[in-house]
Amino acid sequence: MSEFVFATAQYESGDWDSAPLVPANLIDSIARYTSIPVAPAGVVVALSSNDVLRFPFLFMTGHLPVRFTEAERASVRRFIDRGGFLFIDDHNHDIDGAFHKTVTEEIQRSAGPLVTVSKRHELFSSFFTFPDGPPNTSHELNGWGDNLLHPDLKAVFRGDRIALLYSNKDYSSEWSYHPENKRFYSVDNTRFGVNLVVYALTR
Amino acid sequence: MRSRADRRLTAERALRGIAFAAMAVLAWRLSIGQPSADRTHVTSGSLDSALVRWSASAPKWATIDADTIPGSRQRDWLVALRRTGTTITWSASDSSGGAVTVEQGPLTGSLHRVTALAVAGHDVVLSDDLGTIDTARTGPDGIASWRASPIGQARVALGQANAASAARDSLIVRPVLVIGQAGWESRFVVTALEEDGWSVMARLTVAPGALVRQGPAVRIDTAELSAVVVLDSNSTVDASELSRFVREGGGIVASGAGANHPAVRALVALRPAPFRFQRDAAQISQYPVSFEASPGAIGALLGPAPREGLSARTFGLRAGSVALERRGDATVVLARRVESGRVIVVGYDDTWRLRMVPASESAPEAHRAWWSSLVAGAVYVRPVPRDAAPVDEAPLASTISALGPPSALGGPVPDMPLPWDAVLAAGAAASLLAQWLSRRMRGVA
Repeated sequence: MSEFVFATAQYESGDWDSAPLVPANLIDSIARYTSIPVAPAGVVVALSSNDVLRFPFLFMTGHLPVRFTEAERASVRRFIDRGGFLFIDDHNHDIDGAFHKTVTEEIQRSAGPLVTVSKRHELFSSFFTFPDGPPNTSHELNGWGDNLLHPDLKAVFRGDRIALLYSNKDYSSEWSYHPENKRFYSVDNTRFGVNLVVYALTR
Repeated sequence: MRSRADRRLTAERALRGIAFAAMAVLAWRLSIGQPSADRTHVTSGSLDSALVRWSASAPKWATIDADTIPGSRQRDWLVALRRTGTTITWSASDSSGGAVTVEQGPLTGSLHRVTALAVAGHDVVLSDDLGTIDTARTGPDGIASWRASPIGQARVALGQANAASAARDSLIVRPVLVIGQAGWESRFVVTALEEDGWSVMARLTVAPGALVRQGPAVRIDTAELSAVVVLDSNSTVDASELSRFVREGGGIVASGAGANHPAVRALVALRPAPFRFQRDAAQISQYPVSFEASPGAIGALLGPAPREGLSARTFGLRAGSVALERRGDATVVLARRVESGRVIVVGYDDTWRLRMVPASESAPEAHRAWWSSLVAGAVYVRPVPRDAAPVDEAPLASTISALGPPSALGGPVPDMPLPWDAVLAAGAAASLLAQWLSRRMRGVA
């Protein structure tokens, strides 16, 4: 059986590589908490290439305005139609930010309407349990960005399955640190990332 | 040389002889007993009353000029009459025929598929015991179809015929349980089967002691499940449980690493495929696995035969196993019947790539159909007979089957055969009259 490979999407506009430590940190968490075979290093794939179809879990982040090329839009559409799981996180955690505005437009254009994910969705109990829905990030709690707690995640569904998950809670900042520094946290803040991967692999 | 008077006398005697012979034959025919009505001719409108009459006094010959094709009850009655000696002929002015079928929906509560065959471009009306459901026009191929849930019979008016059908015996297909490690393979197998209409439960291992379940916890039993898909070799399922399930009629599909599950290996009795390269005894004892690895062809995933691009395990066949797919000389998908059940072993690894990677837009559909066919080949189904209303799905074809081909289709009714008694009587009378005239004319120049 093939290993789970954490893939980061490289898109032409914006800063796709703004959270370079997230892959290693989540790979560490998956290996730490689950028995899912996981590749020790992530990969970077161009969003416009057919290579994205080899990695059904795709992570995308950034701060800057996003404008997909036609090839990227077609690739996103094909990726989620075939069953891939695309997780897009706003690295600005800012509802008026450039990334949020532009990427939500692109999502709706290429994948479909974003709808709010219920706090009782199985995404929040697929491995660890988050009874209050998506965990807040320290960046939200510290009042950075737009000084708001964003209580919900948005998603594009295919059937009853989340095909594209969008967050503007800034998990990119929250999880972008060296895995060995987890020992300084009383509660591992990447646990929700494990839920995302388990959900993608089981639903 | 005979005179003219001699020839007249001879002719008169001959006529008298003919008359006596005809009367004798007629007397014989009457003496052996004839039906009260020797031959009769009815139309569809009077057929019901005629059948009642004929049951008391059967005609020797009956011809039905069908405005509408006889129904099943009328056909049965005519067949019974024929078996008592009545010759039945029939004709129809409409040769178009027609048929209707009702196919049970695959899932409980799903709509049935009603398909009618009639003349192309004709309006056909679908109705059931409660009334009219819909009207449709047949396409160029003469077919009209509906998704509906008819109550009782589904009836369709097809030209001269009224065809009726009903959903009949049903099959109960219980859910399929997918067992494996959380991963793309299990995830996409579940997706493919669900998309193709299967009810799927899953038991996926995420961590030691942690399972992600889809659906309620069930026993591996034919009362609960139709098939089990095994996708890893070390799932916690009890081998004896799987074995009992198969022997009682259940189906197992073991794919990828699941082919190496101890229960599957025991059931299928795999033996190693011929080694392509030499291994020493130590290696063989170290790897007692009954497979040989076969790498996929580079680039084949993007080609017309994407399964060639998957790495696979190939198997050696034992007696009783059937190869369903081969790669070269080796078996890559095999099936084996184990008592009442079936086991299918799939050697391909990472079949999820068949859905995601190929360039063809139909790749998800092909992946879905392939997995569905594998499970369908092993699945346990329990037939459930249901009390169905009497059906008459193809009236014209059934009438031809019951009564033989019509004497005319789409044309006028043919003439009836000669009434021999009348012919004989007329012949006798004509002979006597001719003889009498001849005698009266004697001496006339």
